[in-house]
Amino acid sequence: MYEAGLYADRLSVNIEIPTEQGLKLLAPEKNRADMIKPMNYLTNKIIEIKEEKKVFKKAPVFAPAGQSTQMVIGASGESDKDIMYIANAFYNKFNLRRVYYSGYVPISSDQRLPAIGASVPFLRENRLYQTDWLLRFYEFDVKEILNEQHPQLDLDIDPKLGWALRNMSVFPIDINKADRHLMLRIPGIGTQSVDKICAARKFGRLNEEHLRKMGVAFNRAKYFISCDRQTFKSNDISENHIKKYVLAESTSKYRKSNVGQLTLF
Amino acid sequence: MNHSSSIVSKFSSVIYLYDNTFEGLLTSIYEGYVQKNFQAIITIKEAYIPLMFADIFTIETNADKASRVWKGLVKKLSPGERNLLVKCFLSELPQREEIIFQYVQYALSSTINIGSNYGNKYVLELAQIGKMVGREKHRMEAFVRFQKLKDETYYAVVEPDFDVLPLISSHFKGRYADQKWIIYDLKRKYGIAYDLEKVNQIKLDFELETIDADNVVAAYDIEEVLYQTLWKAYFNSVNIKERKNMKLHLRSMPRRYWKYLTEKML
Repeated sequence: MYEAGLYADRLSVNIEIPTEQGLKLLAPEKNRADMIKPMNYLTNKIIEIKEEKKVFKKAPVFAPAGQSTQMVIGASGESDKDIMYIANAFYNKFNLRRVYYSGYVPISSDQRLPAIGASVPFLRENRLYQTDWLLRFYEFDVKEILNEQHPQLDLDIDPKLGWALRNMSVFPIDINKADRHLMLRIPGIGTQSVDKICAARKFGRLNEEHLRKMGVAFNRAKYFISCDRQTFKSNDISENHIKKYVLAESTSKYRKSNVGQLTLF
Repeated sequence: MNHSSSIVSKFSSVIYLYDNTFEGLLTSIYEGYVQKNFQAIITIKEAYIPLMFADIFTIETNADKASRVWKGLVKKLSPGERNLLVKCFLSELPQREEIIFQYVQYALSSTINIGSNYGNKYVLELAQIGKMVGREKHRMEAFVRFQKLKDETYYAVVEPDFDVLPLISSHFKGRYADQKWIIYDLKRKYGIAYDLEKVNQIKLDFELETIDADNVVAAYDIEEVLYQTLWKAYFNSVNIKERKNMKLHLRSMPRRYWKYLTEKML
């Protein structure tokens, strides 16, 4: 393993089955602790060699791009909450650079597994990656997105919009004043737009046109922001309405046609 | 620097014609300052269609004048921001001269760095075009497929959206330092060639367009066809049918790049 780290840019110890119960069910001969051990070894070794490198210029390079892992989604019945809590623990504990979530592709007709021909859960995979990004780049805590009340991610809306709709009291956020941490929570505004807005507003106030030109998904963001003392959403509009409007305006290959007809209010 | 400046420039009657080089553009900007024509239209000489009632100046590219403008920019802009100006120039977009001229004026007139004022039209557009060109550069570092010729030269053809060969040359020089290679831009009819020492700009004498597939194959090294077969087989076997996602595939690798990709050839 040490040898591998000298050559490879990044090493991945794939745990494949996210939970201990899942492992017991599908691979009873395997022990979870044995699978975690190499990860621990890598974490320590990477830190150790980095420290060495600071002192000795000629110390060997060891997996300079860190380590990652992969888990299979949808093979052993765990909830999104289980998966993301485990991923979050990995990020914190082992300093992982990436966790990969791969939807299970049925290959055997074992009764414990989804049958051959069952479709790969692409959408679920996508939502898990979105959540992963929220944790790593958007300063979200995993408990805000997934908890006892919400153990599964919504399939029809992305987790950021889902969080926003559950926490409407935080909005509208003033894009000319709010700090970065809050700006990152506005649906329709990504990290790059947030950085642009934060840099540009030092020079002068920004309005709707500025945001549109910067590439903000304004039709989504408008329900959650205010700028130049202007809010874009009427106060009596409910979370459900926003959800319907956003869904009606978005086009996704995953979107099901039965979104529900828009109701007049 | 307000939004009306672009409207004014449409009616402005001073036109500078330059020779389609970055140095020529900087010289034109210098002349704009000397003559106080801050809304002058700068445009390429060859592509110019005469307008009535316009004062037309043909700008002679002058290294000293260009470097004076550049030195001024060095004081006001970060290396990354200056690089954006070059990228914008390489974009070959019709609005590039206006954006660069107005951006330079804004940068030089300000006491503080204006590179991050994305509320300004020209700053934002320069950043966006710079990003587009940067993406094309990145793609051209990935979508180049070399073919080994009989004389040990690795030869590749590209047709990038923007003129990115000057941007990718250092990557390939560092990456393939021990082999001779040529990357030829068919759209712009020039290429870059590495001779194990340095990268030169080249123009190939023969008409490349007239060469059909058979002729190119005739110039191949003996093993080239074998390696192409191997490469295609590799692509076929790493493919996971169940996970095919054409939309994503096309987003990362649009069809216009397929033409010269070995793995996409039948």
